[in-house]
Amino acid sequence: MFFSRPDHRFSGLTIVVFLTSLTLAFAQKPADPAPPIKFGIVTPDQFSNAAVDSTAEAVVLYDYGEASFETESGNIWLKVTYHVRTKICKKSAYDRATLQLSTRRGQSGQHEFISDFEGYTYNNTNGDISIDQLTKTGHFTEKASNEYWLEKYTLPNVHEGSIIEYRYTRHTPFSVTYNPRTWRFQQKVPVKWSEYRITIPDYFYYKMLQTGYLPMLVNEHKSTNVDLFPGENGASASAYRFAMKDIPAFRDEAYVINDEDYLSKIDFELARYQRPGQQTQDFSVSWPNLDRTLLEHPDFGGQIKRAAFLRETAKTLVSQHADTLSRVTAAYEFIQRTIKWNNEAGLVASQDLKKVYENKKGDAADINLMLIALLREMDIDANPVILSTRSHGRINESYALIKKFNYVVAQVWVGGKDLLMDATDDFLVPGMLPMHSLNLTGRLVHLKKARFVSLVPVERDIEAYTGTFTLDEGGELSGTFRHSHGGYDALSARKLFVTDGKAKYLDGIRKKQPALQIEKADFSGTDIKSSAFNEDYVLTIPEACGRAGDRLYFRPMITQAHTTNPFKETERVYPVDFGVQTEETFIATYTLPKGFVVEEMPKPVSMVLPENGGRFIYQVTVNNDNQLQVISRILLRKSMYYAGEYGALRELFSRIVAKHAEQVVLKRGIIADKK
Amino acid sequence: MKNFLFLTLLMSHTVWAQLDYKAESIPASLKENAHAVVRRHETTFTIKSPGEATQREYIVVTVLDKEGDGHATKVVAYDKLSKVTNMEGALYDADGKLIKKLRKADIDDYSTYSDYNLFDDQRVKAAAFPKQPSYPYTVEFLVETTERNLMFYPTWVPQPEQHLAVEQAIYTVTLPQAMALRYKEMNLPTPGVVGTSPDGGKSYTWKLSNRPALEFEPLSPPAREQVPIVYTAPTDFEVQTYKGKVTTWNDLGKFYHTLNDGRDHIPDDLRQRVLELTKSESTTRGKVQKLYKFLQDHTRYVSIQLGIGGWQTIEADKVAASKYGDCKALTNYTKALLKAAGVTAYPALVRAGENEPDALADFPSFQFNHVILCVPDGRDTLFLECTSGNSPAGYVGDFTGNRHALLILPEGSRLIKTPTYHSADNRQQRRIAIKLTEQGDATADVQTRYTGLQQEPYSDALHHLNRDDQRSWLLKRIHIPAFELNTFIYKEEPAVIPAVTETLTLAVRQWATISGTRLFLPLNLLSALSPATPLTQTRSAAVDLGTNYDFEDSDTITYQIPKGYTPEYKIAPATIESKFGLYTSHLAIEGDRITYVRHITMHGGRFPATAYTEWVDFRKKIAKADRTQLVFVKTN
Repeated sequence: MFFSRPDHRFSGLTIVVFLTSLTLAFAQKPADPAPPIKFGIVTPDQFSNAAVDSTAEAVVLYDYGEASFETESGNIWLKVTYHVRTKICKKSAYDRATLQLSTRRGQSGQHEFISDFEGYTYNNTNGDISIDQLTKTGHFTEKASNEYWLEKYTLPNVHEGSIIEYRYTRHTPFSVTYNPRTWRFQQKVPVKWSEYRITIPDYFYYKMLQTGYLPMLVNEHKSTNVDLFPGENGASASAYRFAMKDIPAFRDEAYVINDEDYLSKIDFELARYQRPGQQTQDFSVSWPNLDRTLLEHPDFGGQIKRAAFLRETAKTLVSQHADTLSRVTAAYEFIQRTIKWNNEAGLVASQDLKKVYENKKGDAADINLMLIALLREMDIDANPVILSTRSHGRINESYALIKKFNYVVAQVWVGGKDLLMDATDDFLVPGMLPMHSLNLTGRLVHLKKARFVSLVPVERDIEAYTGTFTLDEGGELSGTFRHSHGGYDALSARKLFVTDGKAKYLDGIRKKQPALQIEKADFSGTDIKSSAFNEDYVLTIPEACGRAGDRLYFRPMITQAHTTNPFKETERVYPVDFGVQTEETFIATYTLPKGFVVEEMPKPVSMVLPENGGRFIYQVTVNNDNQLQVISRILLRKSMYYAGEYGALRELFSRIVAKHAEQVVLKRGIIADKK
Repeated sequence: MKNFLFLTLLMSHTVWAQLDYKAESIPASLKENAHAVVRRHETTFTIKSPGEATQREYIVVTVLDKEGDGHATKVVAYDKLSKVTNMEGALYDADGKLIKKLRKADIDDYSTYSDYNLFDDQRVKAAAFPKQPSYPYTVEFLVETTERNLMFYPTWVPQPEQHLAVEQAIYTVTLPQAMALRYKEMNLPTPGVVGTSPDGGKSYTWKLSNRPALEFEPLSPPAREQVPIVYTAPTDFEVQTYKGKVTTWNDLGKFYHTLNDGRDHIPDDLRQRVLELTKSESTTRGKVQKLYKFLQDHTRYVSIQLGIGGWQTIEADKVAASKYGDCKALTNYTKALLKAAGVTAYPALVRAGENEPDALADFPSFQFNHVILCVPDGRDTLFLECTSGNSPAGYVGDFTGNRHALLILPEGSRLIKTPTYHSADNRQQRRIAIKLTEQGDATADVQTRYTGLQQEPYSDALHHLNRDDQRSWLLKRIHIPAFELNTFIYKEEPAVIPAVTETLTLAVRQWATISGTRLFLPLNLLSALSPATPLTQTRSAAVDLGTNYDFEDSDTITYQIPKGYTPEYKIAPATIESKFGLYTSHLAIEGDRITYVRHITMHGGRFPATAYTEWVDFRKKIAKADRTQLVFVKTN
């Protein structure tokens, strides 16, 4: 069972922020809902009661983690004890009987390590439970690299129906940059019980971010005491307990960019640290605080104040262009042309921008911060907008966290709206961000006028086909055909065209569309200043029609019909994320062979998605000159459709596919019986 | 000695100075279609004794574009028996000006932990330069290694992939007087040259120069049959305390046998269990099936590759205790189980993998990566894949089927052929009953029986996916414009040629289009084939249709159409025949019941380059026939 709440934006995506300073205790349940599971004790009924999904390859019966902070020889360590019990149902789950734990190597001898690893395999033969223990022959330590080592454990005597169980403790040296690991309640297989406990001394102030679609069953917070620093007589602390029950397996869906955005989990982030008698170390807490942190950062705010090395360029550009927009464009093109992108994301400059300028290469932060610096040098109010790329996961507006960001672009306010710019890509223009950065919302970083900025692009993915053809009585079609790419589609098509070159690009078209006999091909609008990239063909389609007796059966969408519905699943849990809006138009005129008339043709259709979310229009007409005209237009007006809109979206595509399959019947001579 | 040392230094100095790192000095013909150009590649393999050798590899590559960036790194694998003694490198700009020398910090040293192996001692040193903002640029690497596992000598592949041109490459093997080299050259423009080395031994040299970049054509033979390659192998070798001499397959088999002999002892309680399990079985086949099932139920594959470079098995009694092992250990364990039941079996070394080229039959050497078990049974032979938890006894599929294997016998080891799966073994037999509504919607009951290689994806899905994921997987395989999958059932029939039966019920939206008085009915619901990639340039490589082109498909579809429609025209039976196979389809109409029968038999194999046009034509005709539609007109 999945939970979808179609009527809300961000349907079901719950985000709760807990602050350790909260003293509110949640109401206690009368009986503890946790299953009575003790390490090393397995009863016969636990073999049979595993069924959450009887076809799952494995079921995690119990997944428990307990974290605390302790001092050992004067240093603080994070100590987490894990206890996992899993039923192996299919052979494909045997990998779960092998555990691989990586441990970080620290500087100055403080290495992360695993202790007290114990593992057992239980097998049930007619109520008789046999136990096999992990021995040292099943344990391997490997120096994976200089940064980390691997501890590998493989359990003995595992087969279908076995229950495996292990526990161990991970010791991690405390560090402000190394937070407790994310706790994932949801996994690729069903989990019967998942529980995480953490006791945090009040010296530390952690933010806890819960994401996902599933409800928390236990969510407790109690005040307690810990003895962290000897001689300080204990310190007040907060003990948290989170648990979920009967958690369904996490399943992949098409058009989901980042699974982690939807998986049920808790993340931790250190916000403040204060040892008694020492100064508070403050990390990003509120948005204004985050803005300030970045603006005071020498590699961020420090790089965009002004830049003497760009002063001459700024002067020249200003003198060459009169209005703001053309100055902005000129600055953008200058950076785009001058600095090569090394294909890496970046939030803060990798080095001094003057150096980047000399080397003529840099990451996204180097390039876009330099653009801001240049614009400011031209007295244009340019500001940074920070964001998280699609593969890096979503940011959350109620939760200021620097680590959630990995990219920065430039913003100016022109003509009453935001103009966002990314000068990394040679095929982009001002106002258009690359696909990887289209991740809902970014933040404009500024001391006074900071705000969230929508990254949902104005620019769409546009494809238009227009054709003028003559059909002969043998069923052969010939004429001219244009495939025009606009917006994001132009970006990708141009890129491919420039990388491949004309010959190879055309070769690709010929291979993809073997039905077309291309006699002539012209490509125009290959430079980014043109609004569209056009492919113009003179072509023939030898067997465009089926033929029988006096009749021709003709598919008016020729090679451009949508032939299958991309949405095959009936149900949807997570939103469908296209990234951009799309628009696809097909318009063709066919001059019919002499003596042939239309006997039957598809009926027009017009279908809209709720809330004007999209539409499909299809129409076939005949004019007085015996020409057949076809118009097909598909508009998807949202870049993202929520699960509640999935049914309608799927239906829209079903209609498109059905309509595109319809045929026109042509008959020689006059229709005898016109109804 | 002193003089000699001086000479070596001088020589290497000359080599380094001679080379022109300027990108513009590359001939235009080498830049065409290339992402990178190997300017100079020198590999010297110096055998000191049967147990020790050194290798020196010097390479200069100019990277022309982004896709060539991969050539700007150097990865060297090593393990306990080999050592990287030196690794140097340098980066040059387009004009050949030095940008940077490789520093120690630029070399990563890591274990191959991302592999599927649970444990082995393989490690890697990887050197890379920072990504360059502009092209072309040139990198240079020098790697020196020592090797103490001389079961293997290097295989020289100077042009290992497409879009890579080679200006100059040279491979030299030198060996002491008392030792002999075995080698095999393939696709070389000029054969190797034998000379004498300063210490009286032999030296062999192969050269390759000015090779433009290749581009592999669709359905062309494996790369190794198209690119220049030199295999080298030892005659006498030593690895740890083991000595070997290989000139024949029998020699190789003997060595493997010695390495692994006497490791098949199993505990007494297990022996009793084996006897208990097989006591009611009188035939070899019966015993094998019982014990193979026992193996599959109680053990699992875990890859622990240790010992003599991964060629020596873990003892059977250890597997009996832990219930896991790698391919050698599980094969050896199964051999031990069978032995306890009085059945003799032999390991067979094989080069496994769906797309892995077969071992070279005329070059006895350690070319294998896997071992299976071979059980002679009268005139039959059963092959057992001991790492599979699901395969029926005797079925090895395209992982190890249809190729050579080295049967390991105490005496007289020899190459044998593993089972070949022919067209008739790999069937897809489908029966569909379709009922069409007045709107053109359809309900379809589909029953398909897949056998042999064609059942593999289905069997895999059954054993690896849960029900929800099976449904999603199946949805992706069905290419009907718009449909709902109402029910699906799978049934397995384990056998030497296994089968899976699939039963589906589908609700298909507008399978037939109704327009005015007409009903348009496409005839082939599920099995339509697409055309082949057309030829856009002159074909030069042979056409290689692999085993997945050995198949036989049949479809029998009955349509129940709404009342009152008659066909507007007749469809003649189709027969399309070529050297690649035979396609037939025909249609029978009885009132509102239409039966469409389609049959196709294909034969894989190797065909000359000129056959490609025929292939495209054959596939085009089939694709067209598969798109056949029948038009009906309402008569009342």
